[in-house]
Amino acid sequence: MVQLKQLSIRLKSVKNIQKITKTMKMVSASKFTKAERELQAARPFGYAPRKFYESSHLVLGPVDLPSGDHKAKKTEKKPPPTEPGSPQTATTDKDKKLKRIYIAMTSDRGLCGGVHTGVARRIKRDFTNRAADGESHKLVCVGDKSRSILRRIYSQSMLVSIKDVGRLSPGFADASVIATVITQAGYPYDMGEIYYNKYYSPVKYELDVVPVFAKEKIETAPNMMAFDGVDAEAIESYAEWTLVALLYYALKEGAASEQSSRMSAMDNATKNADEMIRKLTLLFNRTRQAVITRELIEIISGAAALK
Amino acid sequence: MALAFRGALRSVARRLQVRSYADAPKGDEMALTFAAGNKVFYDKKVVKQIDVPSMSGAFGILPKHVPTLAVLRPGIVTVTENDGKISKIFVSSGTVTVNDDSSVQVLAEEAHPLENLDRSAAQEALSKAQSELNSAGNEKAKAQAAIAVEVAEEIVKAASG
Repeated sequence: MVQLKQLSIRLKSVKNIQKITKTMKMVSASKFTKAERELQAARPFGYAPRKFYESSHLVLGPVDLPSGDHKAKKTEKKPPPTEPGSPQTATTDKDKKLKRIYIAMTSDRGLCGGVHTGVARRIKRDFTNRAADGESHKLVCVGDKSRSILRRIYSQSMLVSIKDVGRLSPGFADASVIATVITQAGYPYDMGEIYYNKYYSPVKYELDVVPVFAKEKIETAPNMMAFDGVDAEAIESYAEWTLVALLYYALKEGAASEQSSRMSAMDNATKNADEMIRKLTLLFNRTRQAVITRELIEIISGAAALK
Repeated sequence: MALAFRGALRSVARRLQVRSYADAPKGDEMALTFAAGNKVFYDKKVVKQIDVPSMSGAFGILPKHVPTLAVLRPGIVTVTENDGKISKIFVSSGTVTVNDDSSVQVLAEEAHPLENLDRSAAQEALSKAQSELNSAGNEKAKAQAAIAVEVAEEIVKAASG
């Protein structure tokens, strides 16, 4: 028989937890509306650099598909091998020796479903697949969550980690700070890959990877010949600015996904707590009844014995 | 020799592009995407002309402009829409990309329509930036203040012009 007191304490604690999850849900709901609104303004920041990567043939395949057509979008990531002799093959061959950085866009806060673990898992997978040339690959962790997941395995490859992101809604200045930190880390990377959660709807987000290229890669892009009157200095500034723009975009997408995911996670938690409360209340009432019955029996049988 | 080779390649590339323009259904239209950290001004909207201030001098972009990259300097971006409406937008910094499909992307850190600029506030910011420039201790602070002065000067110029 469960003790009545223990039951009531447990019931109380579940009720308190439910209050917390309910509040968290409402807080993230309001943050989410803001994040979603701001994301609309940030979308061109992701679109424009990709469009350039496409037209300079750094990345093959169309980039400006309608947002619902995300399945097709996935194919854009890896340049497929083209016919021999074209400049593209040169870059695919060199792909292996590229100095890459992996940028994990997460935040410091948990309790939001699989947003952060998804990013970390994908990085782990890609890192393992390219393990042969792992020496030249480095990790950049934005947000404490990805850092704490990845640092045990890849402590050698950690370049920098940035925290205190995602407490407030991220702004362009945050992206500039991250880009500065990455640039000042002193690792001469050729290309970076930003792993972030792309937001589709309040109930749907998906992991996406967007490439970002350094100055040298842009200079040697297959279709760079078509671009007119571009000097090295302009390309350098352009590459730096593009990094900031893409980081800003990924931050915004990530923030919206995180809040939406937290919203549904907290909604589920509240529902689960509801169910627990229902079961516990039932058990509590039954136990209470049993205790009363037992006491009654004791009194009655005592009185009967005295007769 | 190398130069000539490059030139030849470029002309080939251009010829290739011209052909692709002819194939494209909307070859002589220019889709502008213009966004800033605070607002999206144009989203793949077809416009007539765009004038941008870049680090290597201001230039105008008409449909079928040769693909190029440029970094914006503080100044006014002028967009002439298809119906002749002209909007002037002040930008602080950013990039402009002209792609080979004639689409143009302008990304700015901050951008505001000209009519939203306040001249007296800009003057104030300018004098503040100038005093910061004079009191700047190290190279980095000096560079930052110099940028602030440049932006403030341009805002004053834009707001009064």
